Amino acid sequence: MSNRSVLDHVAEEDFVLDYYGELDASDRERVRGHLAWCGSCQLADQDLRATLRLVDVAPAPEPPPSFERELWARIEPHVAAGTPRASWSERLIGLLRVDGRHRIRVAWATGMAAALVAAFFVGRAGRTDGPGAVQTGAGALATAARERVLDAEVEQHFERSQRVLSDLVNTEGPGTVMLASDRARAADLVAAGRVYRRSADALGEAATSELLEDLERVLLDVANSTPDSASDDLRDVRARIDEQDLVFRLRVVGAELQRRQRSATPAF
Amino acid sequence: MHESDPLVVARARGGDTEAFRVLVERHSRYLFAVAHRLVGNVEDAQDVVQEAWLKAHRQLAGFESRADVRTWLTRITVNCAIDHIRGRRYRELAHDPADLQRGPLGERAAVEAPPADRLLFGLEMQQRLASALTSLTALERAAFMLRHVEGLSIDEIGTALDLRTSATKHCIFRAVRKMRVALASFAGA
Repeated sequence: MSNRSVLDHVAEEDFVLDYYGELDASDRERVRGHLAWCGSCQLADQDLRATLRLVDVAPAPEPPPSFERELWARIEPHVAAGTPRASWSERLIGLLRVDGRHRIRVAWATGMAAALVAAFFVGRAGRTDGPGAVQTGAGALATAARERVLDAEVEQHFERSQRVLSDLVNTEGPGTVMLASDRARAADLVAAGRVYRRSADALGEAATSELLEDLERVLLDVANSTPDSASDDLRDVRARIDEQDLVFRLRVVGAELQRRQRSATPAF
Repeated sequence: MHESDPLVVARARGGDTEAFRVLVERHSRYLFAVAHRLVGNVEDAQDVVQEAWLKAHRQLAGFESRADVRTWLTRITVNCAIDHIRGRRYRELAHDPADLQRGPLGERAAVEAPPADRLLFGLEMQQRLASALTSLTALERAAFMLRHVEGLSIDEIGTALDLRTSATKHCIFRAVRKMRVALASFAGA
């Protein structure tokens, strides 16, 4: 298409691609250049745009009045059969049973969770025993306040990240689409995660920092993925999420951060 | 009193079945419209909405409480519709590849609308538009609606529907061409 002259009339296909912003820069320039002086193509373009605007007002047929009632009758048995909100550890284990692809032994999951929580506490306890642990009363209070802020922020960051990763894992299948909005969300999380990781390093939160680093690598891959490379690249990303038990680890450490916030005594 | 969506979702996440029913009552018609635009018939749209609710229930625990509930539900519905279209495509291809391209028999009526002077603008235009939409094949409709209404890029649509980029473009071009023929007397009005 790009070898066409600006004197050539614009093909209908190019009008369509231009309308949807799908022309590359050179073709867009050619089309716009031609439209600037060609009256017949201007009319054709206006006609196309008018048609597509009409589609926006297309009415959707109304479902029958009993739609919601009948729908609920079909859904309710499944909803009612679903277990009420489980404890976080039960949900962690359940999380690893998606479609039978991530089945693991319960004992392994429980042990893994315990090890992660232990590592989390060792990181924090180790720091307070270190050479920098001697603090004045005011300094200790300020540190405690910073820790609580970090806990709250990182816990929310982990939850948002879980949603992105869970979407990715849960939508696995041939031709699964990675939306531009998914990539944008991942990019935002990468930027925020770097800030949190620096804060965690400054506070000596080794376990949190390590998890943030692992998370960042995967989110970067998601953020940098392109629609063209979607299938293979996303399979690799999913495999890494699985291999690193990333969603599982986010759940464990996130739940622990949440618990610690609830049990924290006021810093001031 | 009208309880906000985030509060209802919070109750549903806690295992409150009645709260989930409130969400179903509140959003199903909208989700039906979303599904119908993509799958093109009432029965399939109802199936898609049902599947979307079941999926939403399974994903409740992971729902980001500050996110918009309707946006979240719409996303799930679009994904369910894509799955449905892919499944239907494979089933139909296995049966007779030509059927899919031509569309179901009931939908094959050419866009032979009566002359414009016999139509009442507005209602008639909408009827013509609905007729034009039903004249699209399953793939044309899905590709066109994903691009036009849901705003997916052509590459993203190709990935979703298992089509090459060129095939995706041609689905959209054909859909637009049929629309232009069907709505020719209205577009300039």
